[in-house]
Amino acid sequence: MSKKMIVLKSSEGVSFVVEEAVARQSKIISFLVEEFPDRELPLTNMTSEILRKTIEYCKKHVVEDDGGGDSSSSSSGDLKEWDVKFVAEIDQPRLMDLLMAANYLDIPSLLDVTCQKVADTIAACNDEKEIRATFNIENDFTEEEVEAIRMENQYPI
Amino acid sequence: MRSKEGDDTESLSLPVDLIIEILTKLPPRSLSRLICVSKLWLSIIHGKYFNDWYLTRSSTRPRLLLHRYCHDTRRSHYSSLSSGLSLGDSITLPGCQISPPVRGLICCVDHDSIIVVIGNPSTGQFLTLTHDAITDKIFFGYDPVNDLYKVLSMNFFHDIDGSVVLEKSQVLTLVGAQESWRVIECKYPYYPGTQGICHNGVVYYGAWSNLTDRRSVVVGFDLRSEEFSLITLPEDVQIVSRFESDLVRYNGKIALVNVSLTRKFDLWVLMDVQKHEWSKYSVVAPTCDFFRCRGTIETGELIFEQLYFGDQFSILYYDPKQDKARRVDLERSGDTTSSGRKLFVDHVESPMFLPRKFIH
Repeated sequence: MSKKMIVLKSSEGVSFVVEEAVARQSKIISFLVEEFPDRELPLTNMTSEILRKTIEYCKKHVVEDDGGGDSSSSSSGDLKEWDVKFVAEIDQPRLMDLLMAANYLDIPSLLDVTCQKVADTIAACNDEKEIRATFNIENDFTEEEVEAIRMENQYPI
Repeated sequence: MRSKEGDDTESLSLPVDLIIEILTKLPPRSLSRLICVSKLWLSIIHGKYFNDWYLTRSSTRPRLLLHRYCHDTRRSHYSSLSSGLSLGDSITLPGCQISPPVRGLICCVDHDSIIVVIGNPSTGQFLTLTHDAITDKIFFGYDPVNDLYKVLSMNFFHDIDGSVVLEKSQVLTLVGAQESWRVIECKYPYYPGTQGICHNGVVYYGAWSNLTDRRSVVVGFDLRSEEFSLITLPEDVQIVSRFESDLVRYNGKIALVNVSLTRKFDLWVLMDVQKHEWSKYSVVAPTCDFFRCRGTIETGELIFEQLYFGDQFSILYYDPKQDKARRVDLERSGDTTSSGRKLFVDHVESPMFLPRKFIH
C-alpha cells in the first residue's frame, strides 16, 4: 500500500513532499489535512532550512513511534539521545527559529527539546551580561535599577 | 523571521509564553540569577502566573525535603531529595522548629522561639518576620481561595496546677499590605502535639485537651475563616507524644500515625472531616530497624524514615499494593553536627520570590 503524501511549502516557495504520518506530528498540520485534504499547505513564516530540520525531526519520531512494543524502552532511550544530538548540532539563532516553528506547528515534543536546550544554554551562562549577549536581549535597566533589584533580592546563605 | 544573513538582533523576540516555557525548565536557584536580565524577565519570574505554572510542573515530580537542625550553629539545613539522593547539596536557613513545606515554602521558629522565618529552600531566600511574642507552636498554610499564605503562632504558659494554658494565638497573613500579627480567638485552646498539615485550606494538627488527662483530639484551623474546629479521634487512639505521633498525608487524606517499635504501623485515616469518621489502615513495613512513617507520596508509596542512625540514614519506599520496598541509604557526608532531623514528603521546588513588602 502506498503511503499518502502531502506537500508543504516554505516561505521561499520550496515544496517538500512528506508522508502524511510524518507531517501529522504537527497538530496544526493534522488539523489542516482533515479540513483541506489534497491541498498544498503553505507555511509562509518558515524558511526552507527550518522546515527541512522540522521534517527531519518528525521523520525520526514517526519511525520510532511506529516501531511497536518490541523494543520500546531501549528505543525511547535512543530517541532521547538522538534528540539531544539533534538540538546540539544547531546553532543558537537557528535553534530559536526551530523553537518558534515547533510552537507554530504545535509539535509538543520538539518544543520541549528546543526549550530545554535554550534553558541549558541560559544555565551555562555566567551572568546576565552573557545571557543578554547570547540571546541579544536589550538591557533596559539603569545601573540604579539593577542595584535596587539586587538589594531587594538578596539570597543570603 | 530573520533574514538569511543572520541579522540576530531579533533573535529572542520570543512570545512571552515561550519565554515562560523555557524558564520553567530552569531550577529555582538559576532563576533567582535571571531577574536582572531585563524588565520583561523580571516581571515574568516574579509574576504569579509563572509561579503557579512552575508549581504545576514541579508537582509532577514531587520531592522529599530533609530537614536537619544543627544545635551548635542553631541553623537548619534543607536537602531536597529526588531520585538522585544526596545530602551534599543543602540550603542553610535560620530556625529550629519547622512546619511541613507548603507549596515549596517552609516556616520555622528559632531556638529561642522568638524569630519566625519564612523560607524557600529551593532558592535559599528567606524572610524574617518580626514578632513581639513568643512562639511555642507554629503552623503554616495556604488558602487557595484567596491565594494567601498564613502563619499561625501559638504561645502557652504553665499554670500553677501544672496544666498548659494558651496565652495567645496570632495570625499573620503574607501579603503586600501593611499587615501585622493579629490576635485571634482560639475556640479550642488545646496544646498541639503533632505537626500541622495543610489540606484544602485547613491546617490540621493533633492536640491534647490539657496535659493532665491528655485527651487526644485533632484541631482544624480554617485559613479562610480563621476559625478552629474540633475532630474527635476514635476511642483508644492517642497522640502519645510529639516525638512518637504525627499527622501525615495518606493518599490525599489526613492520617494519624504513631511510631512503632514493631514492624506494624496503624494509620488512622480521616475519611470524613464533618462526621469525624476515621478508618484504620495497618501496614507491616518490611524492615527490622526503627522507622517512622511519614505518609504517602504521589505513587502511593509509603515513606518511612529511620529513627536512629549512625553513619547512614535510610529512607524506605514501600508500595503496599505490590508489597515491594526499596531502601535508599544516604551517606552522612560532612554531616556530623546535625542534632535533629525530620523528613517531609510532598515537597515541590518553588521559584517563589518572597518580597520584602511581606514584612513591615
